Amino acid sequence: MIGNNALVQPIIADISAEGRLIRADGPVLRLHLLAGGEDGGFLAVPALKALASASHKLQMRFARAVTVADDDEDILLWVETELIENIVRLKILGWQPERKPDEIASRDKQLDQIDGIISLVFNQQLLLIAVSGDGGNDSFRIGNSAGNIFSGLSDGNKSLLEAIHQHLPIQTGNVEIGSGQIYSAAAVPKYDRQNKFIGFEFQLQPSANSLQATDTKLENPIVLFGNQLETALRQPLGRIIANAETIGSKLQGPIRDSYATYAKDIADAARHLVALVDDLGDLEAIERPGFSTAKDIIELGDIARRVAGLLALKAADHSINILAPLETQQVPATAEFRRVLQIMINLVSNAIRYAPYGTQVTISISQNEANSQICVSDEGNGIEPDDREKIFNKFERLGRSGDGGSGLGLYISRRLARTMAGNLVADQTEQGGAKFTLTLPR
Amino acid sequence: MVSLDYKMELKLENPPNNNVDLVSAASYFARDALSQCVDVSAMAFPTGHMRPTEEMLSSVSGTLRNLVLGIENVILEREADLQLSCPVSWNMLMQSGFLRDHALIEFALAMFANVRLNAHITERGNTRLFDQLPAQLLVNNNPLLSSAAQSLLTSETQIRRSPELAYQQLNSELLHQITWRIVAVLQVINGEKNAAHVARTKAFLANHDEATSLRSAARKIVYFLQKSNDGDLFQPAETGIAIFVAALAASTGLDHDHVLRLADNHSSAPLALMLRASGVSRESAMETICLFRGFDLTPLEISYVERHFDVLAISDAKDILNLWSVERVRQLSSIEMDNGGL
Repeated sequence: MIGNNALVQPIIADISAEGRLIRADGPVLRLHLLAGGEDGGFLAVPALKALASASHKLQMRFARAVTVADDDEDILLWVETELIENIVRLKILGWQPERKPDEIASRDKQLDQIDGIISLVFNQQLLLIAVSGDGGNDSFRIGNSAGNIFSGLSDGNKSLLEAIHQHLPIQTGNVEIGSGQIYSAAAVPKYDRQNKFIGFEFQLQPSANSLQATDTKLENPIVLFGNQLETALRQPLGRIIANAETIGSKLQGPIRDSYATYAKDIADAARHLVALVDDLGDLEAIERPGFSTAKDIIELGDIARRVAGLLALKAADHSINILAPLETQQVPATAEFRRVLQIMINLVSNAIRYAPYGTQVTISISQNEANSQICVSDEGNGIEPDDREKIFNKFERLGRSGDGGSGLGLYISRRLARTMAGNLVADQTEQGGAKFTLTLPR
Repeated sequence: MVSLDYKMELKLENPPNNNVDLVSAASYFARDALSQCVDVSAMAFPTGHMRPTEEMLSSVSGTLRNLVLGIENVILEREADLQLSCPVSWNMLMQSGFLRDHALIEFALAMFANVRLNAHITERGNTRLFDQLPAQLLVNNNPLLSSAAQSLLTSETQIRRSPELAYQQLNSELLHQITWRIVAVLQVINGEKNAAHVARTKAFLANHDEATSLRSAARKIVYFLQKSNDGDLFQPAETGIAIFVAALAASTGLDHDHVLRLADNHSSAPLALMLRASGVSRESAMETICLFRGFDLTPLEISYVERHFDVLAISDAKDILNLWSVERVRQLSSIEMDNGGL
């Protein structure tokens, strides 16, 4: 039962009273840079920072096991602190990598793919041994040397090669790789447990110019907000909402009222993010070439009543009454049921959000020889004539903020309406309120 | 949810033939029923506190008194022959509520649990101290392990023989907190600020080495032993209570004191839950539960573990423990904030 987590020499990091990383052995420096820290800046590894801060604040020594995040794994460290004048010395005596749970590792990977980040791993001899998120550059061939890959003559490449040979962390600007492709590059040297240099890990991101060039070549754009973000964002956000609501509703026991309010704020913020992710997902879908909708025979009165039912609680929160068409009123149309429902939920939600408390939102339906129409009108202040077209622009908020909207809802709704051979326009009621009319073919 | 489908059965090979036997059988069943109620309530109300016994109250009071006395001795530089049985700051500390700190009481209760669990191992474990893991590690060729084992054994000896040095077992945050409170009370008693007290306190705190405390040494041993041998660490008769508890704490994410208190609970359910969450086999868990509960273990508890241990998923056991841990942290932090933090 003899352990093998112990280091022959402890890894040392010195932290100033303000929390700056004054000096650090390679492995800690790597973690610090990986966590977004800067050379000589504030220590960016949260668990180590907390330990150093407590040690300095209390002027006492600590000996604890702490977990820090690395690229593909968590590392359980055994850390002991020492006080040397006004400096806290962290002595890392044990370094025990632990695999991240699969779910988290897969999420990290997906986010990297989404970001378009390319990872290159070089060994001690600076030969490429692993590539992920390959952007299709021929230079990223396993076995190719760093010298060959970064052989461009630009200033960025020169300073990068110097840093590689000196085993220094790299935070350079643009570098040129292969046939003129420009990437922004960052890299950290890798060390083993004995503090011996074992290679470099690079992260490259195509620069803006390269991205534009690449986008034009792509016949099948990558699906960003579909399945991939389900696990990467929607699920974690769902859990945040559930946990925050559980805490906020005091189901697990009494807590201070202020904490309950914070928990509700967290849930609201997460809900806003979910809505944004949904909007971006829709945006991506409708802007994809070849996007089309089904041509079902639907009944607009039915949709109006469903929407009124779905949003009744939300409306009640604002003391707003939703008036839907009677069961006897029926207007057929040709469109995709769930897309029309989506547009209507968006329109009625907006009306509830912006109409004054205690007013009424009316959903009405009508038809003529060619088209069917469904209107949502409120008793608010209406929309200025100049803004009635502008509000259908992408991310247009008309100067509003902090109300939970993303500025995409109406843009998406109009795009959907037009895809279904219809249209969505904004107008004003006789009383001055806002009126949105969705027209669809019969 | 706890299943209550267990049917109480008693094999009456020799039917009770007098009142004594009847009373004995009745009390036996009463104990079973009580145990079942405790198990159910432990599951349904995991944060509920058990009613303190006289023994527990006395132990907590004694530990607190020893903590204050030991720290006072350092601050006031008392000579050994002048040491008092009751600290001078005791009354004011009690009246001010400084000693009602939740974390401090938790520490004292954990010390009480530690003594009780150790006693069970000594009485029923059938192992001698020098057969246990810490003694073996003293000659380990890994200096980190041998020095940690030495610290652990030193701490255990101190706890038994020099209870006024119990402050050395406090974590840095708690020691800092209580020490400065004692300094403040001494200043009030003396009616003036004493620079020598302050200087000695600062030096005392700076010299305190958390790594030599019992829990830290045990955790360090668990850390530096190979993970593949984790199973060996869940046998308290072999490892001693400190390493066993540290191994449970490391695998479940619970605090060392929390594990001690749960292991010494009047129900075997929390201990079974921790062992399940740590991936210990049912047979080994049963052995550990019998070691700690001994004759208090009722047939119902045995049946409960036999039936439900393997059925409960390890992840579910971890989830339950996680809830308990969160609740405890919340209690401690809210009380710390009420007291204005450090």
